[in-house]
Amino acid sequence: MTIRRWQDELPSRLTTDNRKRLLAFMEAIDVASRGVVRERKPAYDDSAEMELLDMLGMPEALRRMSGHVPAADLAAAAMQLAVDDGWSAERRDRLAQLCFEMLERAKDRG
Amino acid sequence: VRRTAADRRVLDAVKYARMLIPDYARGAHRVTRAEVGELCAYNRIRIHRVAMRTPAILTPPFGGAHRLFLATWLHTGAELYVQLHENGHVICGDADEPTVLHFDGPLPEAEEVADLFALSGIVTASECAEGPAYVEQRIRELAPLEDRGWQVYRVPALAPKLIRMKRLIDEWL
Repeated sequence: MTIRRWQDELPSRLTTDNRKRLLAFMEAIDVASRGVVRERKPAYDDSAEMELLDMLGMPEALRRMSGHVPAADLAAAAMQLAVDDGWSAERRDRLAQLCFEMLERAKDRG
Repeated sequence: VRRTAADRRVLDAVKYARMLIPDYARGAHRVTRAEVGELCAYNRIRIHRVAMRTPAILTPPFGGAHRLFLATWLHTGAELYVQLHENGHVICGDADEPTVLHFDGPLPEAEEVADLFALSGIVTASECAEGPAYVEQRIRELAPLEDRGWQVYRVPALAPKLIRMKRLIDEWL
């Protein structure tokens, strides 16, 4: 089963719990095609990342990067996006808080 | 010259680019910064410059565009190359879904296609006529990425392939 097919079948917006359940199942599947291995590794509480990605409106896309791109880079990219796209101050504050939580957890994990 | 599936993908991408930049990968023409900017706009790639360690992150489209996050420390030439390379991925449809690439074993074909698409617009025909050693040197100068994998493995392998690809472009397009 390909990731693309998965995405086609998934509603675009899911609650965090449902997304986590689906993700757990997806993680059990190691998809390899065209020499490209698609996988996701994080085995930690990534709820801050989940909410952050929901806020960005691209849960699947950045989530799959969250285990591979350093947390600090992900946070920096998200914050820059919020500035460039002209997010409201309130939304930016929430994003900043989530980025902070994400970075704190990354620090705890070493 | 017999064409492989990967060759066809590069040729299709060049053909697509020529709709916007008629001289793309043609003769003495070297793609300009302004042209790459036009290509990004045409392919709906919005660029965000970010102070981060990762050189570049390309996302599937959201909010009406692909997002290309570029590290602020990237050298101008490297940035131009990265933008072209990512345009190659978008044109080939590689960035329609989230993908994390691992260089586990041979280089994924999609990466090589994007490399050859980008380099064919940067390295001119007369430079290719000088042979693989010179082409390798020009790639290092024109796409000065610091990544060790790029410097040690990809550039030497790409030089002869680029010369062949330029021949194919002349022959088929």
